[in-house]
Parts: sequence; C-alpha cells; structure tokens
Amino acid sequence: MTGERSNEAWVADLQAEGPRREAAVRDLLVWLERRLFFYLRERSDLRDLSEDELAQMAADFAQESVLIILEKLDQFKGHSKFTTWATKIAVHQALGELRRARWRDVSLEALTAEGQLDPTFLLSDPLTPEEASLRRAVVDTVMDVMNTELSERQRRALMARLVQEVPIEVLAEQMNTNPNALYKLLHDARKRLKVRLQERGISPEEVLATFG
Amino acid sequence: MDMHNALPPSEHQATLTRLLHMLAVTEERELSCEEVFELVDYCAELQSAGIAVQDVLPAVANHLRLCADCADEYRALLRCLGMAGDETTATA
Ligand SMILES: [Zn+2]
Repeated sequence: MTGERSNEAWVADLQAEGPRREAAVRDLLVWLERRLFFYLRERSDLRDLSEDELAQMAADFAQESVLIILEKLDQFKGHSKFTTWATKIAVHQALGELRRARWRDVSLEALTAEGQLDPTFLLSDPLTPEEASLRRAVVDTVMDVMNTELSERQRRALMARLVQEVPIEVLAEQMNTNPNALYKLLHDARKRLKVRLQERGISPEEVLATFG
Repeated sequence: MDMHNALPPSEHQATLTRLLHMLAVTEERELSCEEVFELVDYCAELQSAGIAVQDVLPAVANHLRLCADCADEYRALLRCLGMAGDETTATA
C-alpha cells in the first residue's frame, strides 16, 4: 500500500524488476487515478461528462503520468513525499492536456487579433477628477509603452494573455517559441510597463484601489 | 495601436485590471514556470503543515499570483492531496 512505502522504498520498488516493480506501478496508478478522478469531478468545465467518462479520463491521465514519472525517477530529490511529487507530475500532465484540448483549434490570429486597450471606457464610470486623471495617465502610459517600446511579439503575447488568458504553453507553441522564452518576453514587457508607470509616480495598487 | 475595436468597455476594464494586478507583483527577478514546478510539491506540503508559502518562498507565491496556469495546477495539486483551498492564487 502507498501509505506504507517510504520515499526510498518507492524509488527502489519502481526501479526493481518483476513482481516488486509491477506492484509498485499498480499502487502508484491506483493512487493517481483516484485523486485525479476526484479532482476532475469537481471541475465545472467537465460537468457534462458522466462518472464513467471521468473515470476513464482519470485512468488515461494516470497511465500517461506513470510513464512520465518512471522516466523522471532519477530527478526525484526527496524534497517532498514521493506521492506528492508524483501527483504534481500527474496534475501537470492532466491540466496541460485539458488546456491544449481547450485551445486546440484556436489560431494565433484569433488569439491575438482582437483586444486593444481602449481608454474611452474610463469616462463611463462616475469618478472624482483625481481618479479620472489617474486612470487617464495609466492608460496613456500603457498605450505609449505598448506602441513605442514593446516589440510586436511582446504586444501580441501580452494582449493574448491579458484579454483571453491564453495559457503560456499554448501561446508559446503558436508563436513558435518555448514557454520559458515566452515568459521572459512577457516579464520584460511587464517590467518596462511598471518602470514607466513608476516614473510618473503611479503605483498599480493605487490605481486598482480606484476600481473598487 | 488601433483604438477602435470590438471589445466591450467591461472587457477593457477587466483587461486593464488584470494588467495592473500583474504589474503590482512584477519583480526584477522572477521564477519561471519551470522553476516553480520544481518547488510546488514542497510548497504544497508546507502549506498542509500550516506554513504560508509567502513566508518561506515568496518568489513562488509571487509567481502563483502572476501565472494563472501555475496557480491552477497548484490548486489542483492541493485538491488532489486532499488539502482545502488556498490563498495563493493568481489574480490574472
Ligand atoms: Zn507559471
């Protein structure tokens, strides 16, 4: 049983051969499948699936995850319980697949075509003159940095993340880059925006406070 | 940038709010998703022991506020491990 294995025992059993390994793989599979099933059942976007379909989905994710876990076994450093580490990998695998499925048929054009910031909404709220001018300054600064300092790729990536909340890995694939490089691209853009706002004495927290 | 477009005003406000939340927690040095992934199992166990991630690994807590993907996975990990909801979630 999973509860009885130490981290060392998990690794040793999974690296063993024959029945010892098979038993450990089976225990791991059962552990992951059960947890993924309970998690998937709670997800609102999967509400329409039957219990059987959810169970099958959990079984598939667990199966795939075990293969990945076995491959990565030598990367387990023991900073957490083995089962926690394994669950992390299974969750990453499952949620990654769900994200990719959700965004599969959306092209980059559709991801980034829309979504420009339009400052006119600022005028729709009842605002004090101070709030109005603060918001105006924020939007002016943001628009200015977007238009003159950010690259086309930074602008597209930022808007796709902000407007449609496109997952990093999905967007990275669409933009022919990798998640790490895309994260850095976005991080540089955020830093630039933050510095320019700070230069004008604007703190994001202060502006957020006016949105109530 | 073209000012005329199809987004309704509420979307603009939501977009700007998301941006400001992101900028509020933007730091000079941040962890990447990959670096955070290396640490979340440890973080989940800390949290289950009643220790705030923010206190021990503020850079991870910060990333979870910035990155909806990692925040989703962290919440899912906590749920799978039978831990209740958490406070360290992405605003965006
Ligand atoms: Zn992330």
